[in-house]
Amino acid sequence: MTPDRSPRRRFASGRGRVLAVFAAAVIVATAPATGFAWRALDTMSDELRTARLREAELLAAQVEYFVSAAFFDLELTAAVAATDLEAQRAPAFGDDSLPFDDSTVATLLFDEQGEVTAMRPSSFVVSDAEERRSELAAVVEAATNAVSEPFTLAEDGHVVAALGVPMYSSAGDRIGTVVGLIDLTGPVMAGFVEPAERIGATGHADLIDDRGKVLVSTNPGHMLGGGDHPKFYTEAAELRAPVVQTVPHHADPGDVDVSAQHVMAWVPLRNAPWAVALGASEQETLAPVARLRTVLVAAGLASLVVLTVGAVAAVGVRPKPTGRDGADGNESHDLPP
Amino acid sequence: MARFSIAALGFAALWLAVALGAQAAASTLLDGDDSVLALECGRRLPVTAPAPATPLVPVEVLLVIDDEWLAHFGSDAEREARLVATRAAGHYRNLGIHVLPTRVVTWESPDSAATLSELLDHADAADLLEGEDVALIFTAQHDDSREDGDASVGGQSAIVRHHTDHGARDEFVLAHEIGHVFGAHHGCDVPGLAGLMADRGIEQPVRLCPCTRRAIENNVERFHDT
Repeated sequence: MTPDRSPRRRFASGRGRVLAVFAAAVIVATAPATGFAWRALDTMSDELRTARLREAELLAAQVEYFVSAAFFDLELTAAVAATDLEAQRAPAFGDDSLPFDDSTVATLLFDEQGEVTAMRPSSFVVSDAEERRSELAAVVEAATNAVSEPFTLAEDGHVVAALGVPMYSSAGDRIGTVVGLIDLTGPVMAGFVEPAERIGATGHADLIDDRGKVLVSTNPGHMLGGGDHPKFYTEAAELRAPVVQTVPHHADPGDVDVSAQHVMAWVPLRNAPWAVALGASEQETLAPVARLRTVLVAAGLASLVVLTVGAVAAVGVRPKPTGRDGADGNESHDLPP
Repeated sequence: MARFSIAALGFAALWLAVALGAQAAASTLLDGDDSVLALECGRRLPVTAPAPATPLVPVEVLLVIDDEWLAHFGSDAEREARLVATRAAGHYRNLGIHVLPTRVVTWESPDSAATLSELLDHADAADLLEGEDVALIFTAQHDDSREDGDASVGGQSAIVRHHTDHGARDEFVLAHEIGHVFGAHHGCDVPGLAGLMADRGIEQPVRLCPCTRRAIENNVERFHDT
């Protein structure tokens, strides 16, 4: 009788059942490995995003320190000026009057009526119109330390932000405000975002205000605009919490980086209503993940190919006829030659 | 069949090893650089979601100058008190605290107070605060002790004594006492890192122990409501 060699018959045979059970066992054995591999990719992706957030925190700490030092200088100036005003002495506000490091490009002393009564350096020019501009008025009238929205100085076209520290008399009456101007277009502020260019070819950073406007950028053309990620900046400014996200990238015309997505970290400051945004293209940021994925896929495919080839070989290769009608080829090699 | 089974299982094991290795590598990626950031007082912190940036907390302070301070500094007494307070408060700016001197008063300290602690009690009893959050008291009164300052943890007042002959700078002493007012205790879990809040003397005065930072950040919430 000719044996039935159809697949159904082959499967129904003992060898087919063994192979099926074996294949299922291999799948069960490799499934956790695949899960681990998948998790490894996720973990690495999370680690890279977290690392980007920490890099942004380091940049933010430097800006925070700068703003903090500027406020500290202004508070010391206010402490001295307040006692001078109380004693009805002309406040010591000249170029050499105070032994403090000055973090601002200019310091202005406003009286309780909001008029500038002294400035440092004395050569600094501030027009009457600038004295009355709304950005300064908001700072001058604030009851506590405050930071203004950015504005452009008429004298030199520099974009500045004003930091204000109120002065109180010993009786607790408001007697004026010390205002420092920070040059947002100067090299000091630019130095805070420049390290972003070292994180990669598409690396960039912005200092953003609470309306989502760019104050300082690795791309000077973005100043006072929405930057490459206007929607993200606006939403994150309202959130005021550290976050790292993959966000759409709006490339400028002629921009070398035309990637659709960027991984951006956002870290708000405490001493000013500002935040640091740092990031690069998703492809560049997650390049290590892509490399690991390639290795894992190659390893997985190699395993699968070997298993498949082995299984096919095991099913397809039958023992040579031995002249006996052995019901199971597995037993044939036990026979004497 | 047996050879095939061994080979297949070998490849499955290899695949598992590759995946586990990748998992381990991903977990430790950049770990060396970040370990310091993830430590607090010598303990590894669990990974937590970043906290929202708390807004700057303005703390209104009353500066109280006693007659001894006034006698010592003369016409510069108020200026000196304002500068010491501003410099001391600067140590807490990065914790989101803005100390704002809004009033200055002179106060005749009782001669009966034998220690700074008693002097502080007298000042508290005088009820000098008029809406301010904290009173900072400046004295130059001498006694036999070598105390430079005093404050109670979570209290509303701190006192600093100016020494002409010895003692730490007034700025650091007051910063230490302000730390108590803001909720910090002495010391740190990590030896040598107590910084401003060291029990005896001040180690590396520009530093704040991470535990101190955490304690203050938790405690200054009370000033949000005032």
